[in-house]
Parts: sequence; structure tokens; C-alpha cells
Amino acid sequence: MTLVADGGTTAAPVAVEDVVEVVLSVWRSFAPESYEPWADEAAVVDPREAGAMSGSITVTGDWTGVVTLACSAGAAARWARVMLMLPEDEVPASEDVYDTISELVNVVGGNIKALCAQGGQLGLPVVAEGAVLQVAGSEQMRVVVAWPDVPEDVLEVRMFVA
Amino acid sequence: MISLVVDDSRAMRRIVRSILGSAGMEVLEAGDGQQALDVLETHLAGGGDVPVLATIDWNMPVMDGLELVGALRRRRDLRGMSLMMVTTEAEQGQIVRALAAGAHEYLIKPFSADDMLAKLDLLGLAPVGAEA
Repeated sequence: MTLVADGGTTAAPVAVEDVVEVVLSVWRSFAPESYEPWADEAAVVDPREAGAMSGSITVTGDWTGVVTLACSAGAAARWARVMLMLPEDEVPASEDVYDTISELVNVVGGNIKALCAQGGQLGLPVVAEGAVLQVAGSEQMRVVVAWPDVPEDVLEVRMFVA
Repeated sequence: MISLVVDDSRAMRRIVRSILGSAGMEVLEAGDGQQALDVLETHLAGGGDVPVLATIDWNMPVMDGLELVGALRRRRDLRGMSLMMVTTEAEQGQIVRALAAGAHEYLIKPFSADDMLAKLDLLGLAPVGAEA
């Protein structure tokens, strides 16, 4: 298993390894029978790709910032299938994909908040398809995972400090 | 057995409904706390049984999960209903707040089906013969 985990331009309030563990715990909980996550170092998500999904959620507290999540179109569809227990060959409905990404960013954001903003507040998730979500702040961390059989099916988590 | 699943995420409602369904429960659904109260009123007015369980997300629009727990706990006619918070709020202080407000169990997202079935077991709601 390989994960891309980069520090950003400013010191993050949590270790990269902790955020990786959050992402992996989400992965294993919702997709226990699927492949272990893996990613190529060059893996990137183009949020403007048709079907690509982006989500963000604000955290307010000891650490105030935004946690974002981006999925390639293929990864978004796969996440929807595993989370909603759809057949492998089913193309998930658009609203199912939206709901899935919304819940993913909520769960990832909530667990990151527990690590770095105890007693803080978690906002409600915002989701967009095929668009770049504008985030004010400096990037502190980037974690990427993907399915090993289709390395372009990428899930990317970023933290931005406000 | 009837249960009530309250979460603003349709995806999460579907996941929880599937798990509770595997435990033999019928499921009512609501997308926020106020809607949950409305769904309950309609269900009870129609002669339905009091649900044995409500799973409740914390962060929801309109009425959040903590408010809903308080509202349900004030209802004498719903005393038999177990309340399980199912949320990303993972901090000790939040867990204490929820339990103090009247929640019986607390399950942190992400969770597996086995995690939720184990909580049902703790509440005495696991199906006979089922292993959590």
C-alpha cells in the first residue's frame, strides 16, 4: 500500500500519519471487502473533470480551517457503490453520488476535528460536481488514496488553515 | 420492531437502514430533528408502535441531534425508546454531553455493521441468535 501524504506550506496541527489513519479508517469501515487503498505519487484529481466531485466542511475551534475532499469521477462512483451497497456494475444516480461525497467529507472532517479542534464546531458539508471549490486559507496537508486496480480512481483529502 | 433513523445524509440513512433491517427492524426515516418529531407524530397517530430505537446524527440542519435527544427524553410516552447517537463527534466532552442529555449509546462514524450490531446488543435489541 502506498499513500501520498504531503505537508503543506504551513505547520499542520496534526501529524500526516494521523490524517492518513482517519482516511484509512473511513475506507475500511465503509469498504471492508474492497481492495486496500493505494495511490501513485503523481495521482491528482482534476475537479473540473466531468463527474469529478468536490466537498468541503469547515472546522472552528483550536484549529480553524477547511477540510476538503476531491474524487475523480470513477472514485466517486465507486465510493457510492460501496457505501450504498449497490451492485458493482450499477451506475449510481447523481444524487446518490452527491450524498456519498457529502457524508464522506462529513466523516473525514469530523474525525479531523476530533484530532485538532477539541470542543470546536463542525459545519455542514458543501458538495459540487465538476467544479473547483474556492477555499480561503493556506494548504497544510494533502493525503491521497486510490484503488490499486484503477489508480486513476483517486480520493484526495486536503486541510487548509483559515 | 420499529426503529427511527435520523440523519441529514441519505447515504448514511441507507447504510443504517440496511444494518437495522438485517437485525429484523422496520425503519422510519427523517432528515433532521424536527422532521423526526413530525414522522413520529404521524406514525403514532396512525396507531403505530413506539419505536424501540432511534439512531440520531448530531450535526443536522433545522434541529440538531442533541436538541432532538432532549425533546424525545421529555416525552413520557417515548420512555421505552432507546436513543443512539451516531455521529462524527468523537470527543469525550461531546459524548458526555450526549449521554447527559439522555442518549443511551454513542457510535462514532465511521463504523462497521458489526460495530452497530454490538451497540444493539448492548441495548438488548440484537435479534435472538445473532452474533454482534
